[in-house]
Amino acid sequence: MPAFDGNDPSAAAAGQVAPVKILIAGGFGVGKTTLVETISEIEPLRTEERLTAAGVGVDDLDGIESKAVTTVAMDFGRLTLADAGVVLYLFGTPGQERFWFMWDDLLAGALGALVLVDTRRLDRSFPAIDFFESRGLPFVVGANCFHGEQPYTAEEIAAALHLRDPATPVLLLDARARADARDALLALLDVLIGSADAA
Amino acid sequence: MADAERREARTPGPVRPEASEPDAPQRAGGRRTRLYALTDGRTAAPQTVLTMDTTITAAAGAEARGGLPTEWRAVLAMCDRPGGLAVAEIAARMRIRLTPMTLLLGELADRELIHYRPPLQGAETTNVHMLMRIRDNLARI
Repeated sequence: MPAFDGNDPSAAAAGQVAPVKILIAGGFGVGKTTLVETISEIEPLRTEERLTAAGVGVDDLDGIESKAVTTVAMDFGRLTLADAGVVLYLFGTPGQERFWFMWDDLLAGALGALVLVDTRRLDRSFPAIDFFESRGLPFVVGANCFHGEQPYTAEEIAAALHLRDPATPVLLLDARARADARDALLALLDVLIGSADAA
Repeated sequence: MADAERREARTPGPVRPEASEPDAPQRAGGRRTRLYALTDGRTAAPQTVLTMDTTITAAAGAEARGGLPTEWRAVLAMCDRPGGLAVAEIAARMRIRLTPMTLLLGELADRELIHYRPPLQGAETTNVHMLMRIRDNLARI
């Protein structure tokens, strides 16, 4: 990110609060937007981006038509933490994970991620976990308890996810409960503080 | 003040009558405002590169905005608030996709009509004290 180094005079003039990006990931229908809505101070907004990726996934020999173009949409919200001097932007990642690799802007500057899983469809969240593990972005896992029920323990879910770092926190949460959403973000910050201490 | 500005921005301006609907840049008929109209005819990439999580605050005073294109005035009115708005939020509210919005805002930054605050970078995001402040504040919400 050589284009801005944080020393831009324009930045100093603008800045009471610094933006911080946190990604909310997980498969389709796992509760990303619900969680964003729960904790955001504004109604969640939707932003779109058009991504072009030559030959993602397939080797097509037809020429220019083989370019894969897709529009990805992200729902996001914000949470101002005035005392800390930051405003958290919570971006629900789009479902088309195979396009994430073409989209450097998605990860750039992200503090960390919360990966939501639905234990009835655990595989839907594998691509997000693989992606963050391969890119080295710190994350925590939140198992959304649909209908207020969760038949599995956090340990069982962690084992089923085959997390590369076994110390990755796995929380049981209800995406509709503000305290649960907050606790998941606190767990992420504990991970970040722990790794910053160790460094 | 900001409300008055916003209302003004919504009335069709004499500058650019073909793009007089800031609320609906992407119209139902599939017709959308051309990017060169949004950038006042410039086609070269702006010097200022912005990301979706950069926050934007308006720099120009209201009196200086009269002759600006309608979309520009709408953007300036929108981020005329303490703390500003993120690029993604402006894009969502203007119903413009991220890349064109980033280019438009880059143009405004080049012309010093806006200030921008990039997201926290490397050293800050691994600063324990900063992370602790965020954690403490978050725990109190």
